[in-house]
Amino acid sequence: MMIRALRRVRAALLRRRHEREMQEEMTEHLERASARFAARGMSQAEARRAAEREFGNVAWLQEQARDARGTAWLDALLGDLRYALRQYARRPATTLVMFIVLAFGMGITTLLFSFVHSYATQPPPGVVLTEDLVRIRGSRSAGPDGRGSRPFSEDEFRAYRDLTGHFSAVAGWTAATVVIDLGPEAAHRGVEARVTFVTDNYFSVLDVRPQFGFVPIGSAENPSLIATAVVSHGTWDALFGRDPDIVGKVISVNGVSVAIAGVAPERFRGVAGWGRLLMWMPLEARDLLVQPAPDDFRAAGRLLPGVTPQQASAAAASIARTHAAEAVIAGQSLHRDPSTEVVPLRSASGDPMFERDVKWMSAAIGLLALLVLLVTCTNVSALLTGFATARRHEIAIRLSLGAARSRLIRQLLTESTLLALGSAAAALAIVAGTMHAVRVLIVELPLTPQITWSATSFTIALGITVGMLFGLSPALHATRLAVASVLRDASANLVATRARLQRGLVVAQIAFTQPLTVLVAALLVLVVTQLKTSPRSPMEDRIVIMTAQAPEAASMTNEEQASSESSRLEPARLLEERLAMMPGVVRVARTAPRWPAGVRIGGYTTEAGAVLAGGAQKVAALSAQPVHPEYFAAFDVPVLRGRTFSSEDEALFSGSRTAPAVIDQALAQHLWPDADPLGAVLRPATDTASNAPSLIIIGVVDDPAARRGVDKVDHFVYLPAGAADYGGFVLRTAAPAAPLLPGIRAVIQEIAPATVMGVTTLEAIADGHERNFRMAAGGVSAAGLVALLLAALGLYAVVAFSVGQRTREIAVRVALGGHRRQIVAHFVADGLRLTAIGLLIGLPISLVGLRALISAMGDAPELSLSAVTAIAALGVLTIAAAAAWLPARHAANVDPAVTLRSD
Amino acid sequence: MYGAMSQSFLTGTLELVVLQLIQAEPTNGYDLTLRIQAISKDVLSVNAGSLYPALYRLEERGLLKFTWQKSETGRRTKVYSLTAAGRRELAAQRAGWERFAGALAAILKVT
Repeated sequence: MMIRALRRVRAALLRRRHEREMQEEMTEHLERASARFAARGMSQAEARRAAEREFGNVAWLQEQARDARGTAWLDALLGDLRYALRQYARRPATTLVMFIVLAFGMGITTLLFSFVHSYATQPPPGVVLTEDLVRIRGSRSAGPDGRGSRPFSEDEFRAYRDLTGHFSAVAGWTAATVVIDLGPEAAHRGVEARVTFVTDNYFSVLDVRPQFGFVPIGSAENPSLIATAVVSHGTWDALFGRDPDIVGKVISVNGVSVAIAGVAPERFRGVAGWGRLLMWMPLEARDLLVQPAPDDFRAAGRLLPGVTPQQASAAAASIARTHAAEAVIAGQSLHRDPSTEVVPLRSASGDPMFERDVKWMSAAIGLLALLVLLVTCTNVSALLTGFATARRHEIAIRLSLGAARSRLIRQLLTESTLLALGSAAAALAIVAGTMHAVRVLIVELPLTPQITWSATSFTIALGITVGMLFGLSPALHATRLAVASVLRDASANLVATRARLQRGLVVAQIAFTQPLTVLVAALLVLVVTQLKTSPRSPMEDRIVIMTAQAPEAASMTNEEQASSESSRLEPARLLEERLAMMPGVVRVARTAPRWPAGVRIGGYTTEAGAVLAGGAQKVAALSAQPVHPEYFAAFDVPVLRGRTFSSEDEALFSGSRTAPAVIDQALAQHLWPDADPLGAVLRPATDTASNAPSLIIIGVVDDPAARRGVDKVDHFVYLPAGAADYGGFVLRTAAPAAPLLPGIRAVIQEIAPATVMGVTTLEAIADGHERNFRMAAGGVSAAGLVALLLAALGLYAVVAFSVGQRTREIAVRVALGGHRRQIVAHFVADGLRLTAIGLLIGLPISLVGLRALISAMGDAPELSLSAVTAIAALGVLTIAAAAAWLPARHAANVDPAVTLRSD
Repeated sequence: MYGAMSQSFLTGTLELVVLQLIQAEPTNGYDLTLRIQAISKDVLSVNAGSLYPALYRLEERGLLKFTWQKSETGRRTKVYSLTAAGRRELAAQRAGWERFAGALAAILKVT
């Protein structure tokens, strides 16, 4: 077997030489035979003819000789390929549709699978995936349906580092925003960047080596090594113009001279990092540059051989419990239900909901991908079935001329394989191109998109198999029939079978197209509503946000706190005065820490019977944002009812277990739809921290900002900020604020050079959010639209092709005196009937898919399932009707004599 | 009738004939046709359409090898000769044929 195959290959390779030699040998044979006949007294021409007669049919002989050589198959294959190309060229539109549908179908499915797989399994960009690399992730309870992430205190981090029975190494880091200054002559002055202060084993734990230069090593013994930094590739590009001599350059970071030690590899962004400008510095340098926030550590480590993440998790969780207990004793503020897990280091696994999200996302996207694949397969099957049955005549003629059945089957197999392989190549090109584009265009993508070869090969193998099978099955069928019956087209059986198969495929196509349309439409609706629900303030270009880096009060002793407060608040007061005097500045308001997201404060209930009619209680999970009295004026927030905070509130409520609260009208509407919220009291729910105050509503405002980015489960309340609650400023300016920013930075430098402060406009922040969102939404929408387009194209082609094939039937009806309009109506009605059946079959899949999608999106806005489904069904119906109508009308308008003669 | 019958014998034994004649003297395709006719005293004649495919088959199977030589027309011509495998195959086929012919002769003697 093996030897025969090898011989065939050798023969194929030597084919040209054998062919030449055979010609030569036969020419010589003929010449000598002619010479022999000439010697018997024949003329030259006679002798030549006699020799040829004796020799026999040269072409036939050559064919025999090739057979003997075993190269006949190659000639046959080349012939088949030529023939296949001619066949496809005769029906370019149908061929193109099949090609595009197959290529894009396989391509999109592969892309979807690959992205989900990358999201679920890929480490952060630039980090090599190994099994022992884990994230030590702090988590806390975050409301009824999930957990949020929780950073560690330095002590807690050290405790994980001491788990030497589980980890071979644990690296920690804490990040801060800094201001970089490249010197008086440089173009970049006062740029904000994100510094990650890392333990000295950070790079070795992640197994990342700088592209060039050195890892920054900090040491208490060698202070000269402290102020060094590795900059990200993006920073090197943006700030230093890829200067090759960057190592050793000294820049100013928050006013401290820092030498650049190296440049990180191209895509490396640390373990988690959005943001354009990134750098890494030794942990020891933190105190030089910023006021440290002690409970802001994150950690990653390497497991010892044989230790599973579960074992390490158990050890880590017990440390988390110990530290929580100690914090309670020390009277420090506390996260609810803190814990720690050890999970494989994935780019997105920092979120404690990651494992659940991945499951939902995989389910939703997997379903979508599967639908795309199914639509693709049914579509191509339907078209190929039509394609091959349309050639019954041709196949019958070839059979009657003596072509072997195996030869015909081989021919059809060649055709479908050619199509399938061609589209598979195109699909791979699409996938590779998209991956490349994503990598190049979205440099900051915190994810390494990678082609998942298992899914890819599965998809492509399926595409090829389906292409081949359906190209072949009608061929087998057609070749099995008696030649005469096919030529006469008398076999009613055949027509019925063919029609059944094709109609079944049309129904399947519609059944799969509908859920696909529904899912994509729902996705688009979600994306659009998401854009709508984040309203942008018309004055956001006139609002400057200044965020100071403040130490966390929680971990300091009272004296420390008092002294640090006065040292911190005094410059803040001076700064506030100076800022208020700046030309162009209308108002200055202090903001409290953690502005604007607020802090979750837990569940609250309305007072039973007191306000609500019927005595029902409502529960709401609340996020609280302390604000200073000037806050609402600074943002021009209209006060609808009651009042906002005043400086007397502190005196009024001091010592009381009740705090005044201002709420947004959306929350008022939600909690007290029919009653006056003023004076109403919210009491902490039983699971909320026991020392939480009750809230008394003193005012209702209309603040779109309160609804921005705050998910449905958490409602927003404003609480009065104390004098010590200082997190920065909000400035209102008379004109767009961007030109004022350098002046504001100069004021900060002058008054409080030690203060580190981010300065930006609300517009820039909102733009950033919107850009990220648009990027994600754009990707989803583009993929969805391509899928929709494919489905529509495929649906149209399948229906139109199947109607087009009944041209002869239409002509017969017209010839028998049928009214054209009636005939067309009949075909459209038939098409609609099939569509309706398909839609009914597809409905359950749509509904299941929608549920999965909505679960995956989590806090999806209200989405009318029936409306989306109805619109999608209508779209499918319209396409199907058009696809039935156009070819039927065309056929009915042609003279039946012409149609019947040409068939 | 007589000629057709000998032709059908030849079809079954063409390989044996070709191998035997080439073992006797390496030769090219044209001379081989002439020689079959001459030796069989015109009882057997093989046309080119059978001979060349047979030659290529034997060559593909590694039983024949060839060298290029100048022919009397001045063109180069392929002169076939047996390989070691060809000689073994010939011996085997001859033995088979002799057994078959012997059996046939015995049957034909039955009266």
